[in-house]
Amino acid sequence: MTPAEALRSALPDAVEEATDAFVRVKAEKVVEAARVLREKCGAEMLHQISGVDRPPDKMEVVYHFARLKPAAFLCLKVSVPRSNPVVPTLANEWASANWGERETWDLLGIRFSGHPHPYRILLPEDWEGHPLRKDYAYPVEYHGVDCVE
Amino acid sequence: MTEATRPGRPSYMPPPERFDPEVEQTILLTKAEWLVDWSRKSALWPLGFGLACCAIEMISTAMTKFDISRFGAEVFRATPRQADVMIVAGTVTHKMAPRVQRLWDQMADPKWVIAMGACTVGGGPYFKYGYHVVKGVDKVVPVDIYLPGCPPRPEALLEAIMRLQELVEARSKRLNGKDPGYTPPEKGSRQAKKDGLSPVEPWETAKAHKFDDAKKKTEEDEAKAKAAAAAAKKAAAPAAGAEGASGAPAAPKPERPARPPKPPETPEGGA
Repeated sequence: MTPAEALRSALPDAVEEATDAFVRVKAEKVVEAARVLREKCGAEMLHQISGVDRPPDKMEVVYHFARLKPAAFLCLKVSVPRSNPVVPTLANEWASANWGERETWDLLGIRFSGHPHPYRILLPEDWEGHPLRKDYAYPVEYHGVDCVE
Repeated sequence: MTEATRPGRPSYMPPPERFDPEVEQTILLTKAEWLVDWSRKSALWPLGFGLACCAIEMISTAMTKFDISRFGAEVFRATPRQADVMIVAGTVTHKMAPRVQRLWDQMADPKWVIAMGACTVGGGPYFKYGYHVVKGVDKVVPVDIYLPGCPPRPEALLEAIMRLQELVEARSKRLNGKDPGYTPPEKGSRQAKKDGLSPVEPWETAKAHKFDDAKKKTEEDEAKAKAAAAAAKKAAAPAAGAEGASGAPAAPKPERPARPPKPPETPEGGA
């Protein structure tokens, strides 16, 4: 059973788009969809979470799952509005989602509701802005050290 | 055989005063300051910390193939309080910069800094779009030796150590007033604030105050420009009134003389 078929049969109203490469589901159904992938398709490993900024109105979160035997990669995508990018967290299901979601929050500013530790992971706590957004304004100075030559 | 070429006496040692040959062969005579210089430059203990890929080259330099211990710098210390030279090997981020500054503050005088690699010299590949990288570690600590490369070869780091040894020797000569080109540091400079007795190298003050000077200059320029604009307005107001009365339009005075008109171009091969 392909991931698209499994998701369509289990969550018929959650799938927005399904191709050979990925399945796009509704943001509020991502936890259920990930659970279906784990139970029906054997996607026991979540090995990457990344974010994409698509101005002017969209942001995406991309989840890469892996099935170990037989080896396969499954890709799940979620679109959220850029004005209020909130996605339910997977950190309570997969421990590896904890840091990945923190990094996505740190660099793109996508919030993950219900995350156990929703703080920046790479940049300093008092950093302003999310640098991988397309409209990011570069800092001029940080703690007395100027950022431009 | 002259004094300089006598075996067992390195060429860099000061020429000896003449004594009985037997005395010279049994007793080594030198000056205390030379001895202090020699011991300082021959035992530069680096601070053992690496920030990125340059640290791999630094580790390689310390291993047997390149063997930094030939220059007396193999004792990588785990604490800044025992270290003489800080080899900043790798990318300094804005998050790491206060830590680097604190390590430098904790080192005992005299202390030196080698900026190893393109990132520490001037931001490296993160120069333009690296929001997180300090564009040169000399914005955080004063740098003595700049070592470019991405990363530099171990031989280059050895060269930097040798240059630093020359610097250490020159510094002590300066402190003893042997260098006629040496001028004492200004009062109130970075190091003088911390330690009035410890003189500051000229390059230290230049690096530490480069950006403050730039800021001051821009502020002064802005103030001057404002004053000039106000004066110009005052001067222009009556003149404009007079011209308005005569009916002639007030033309702005060009700052530079206008260029002479170009000679008409002749088409090539024409005529």
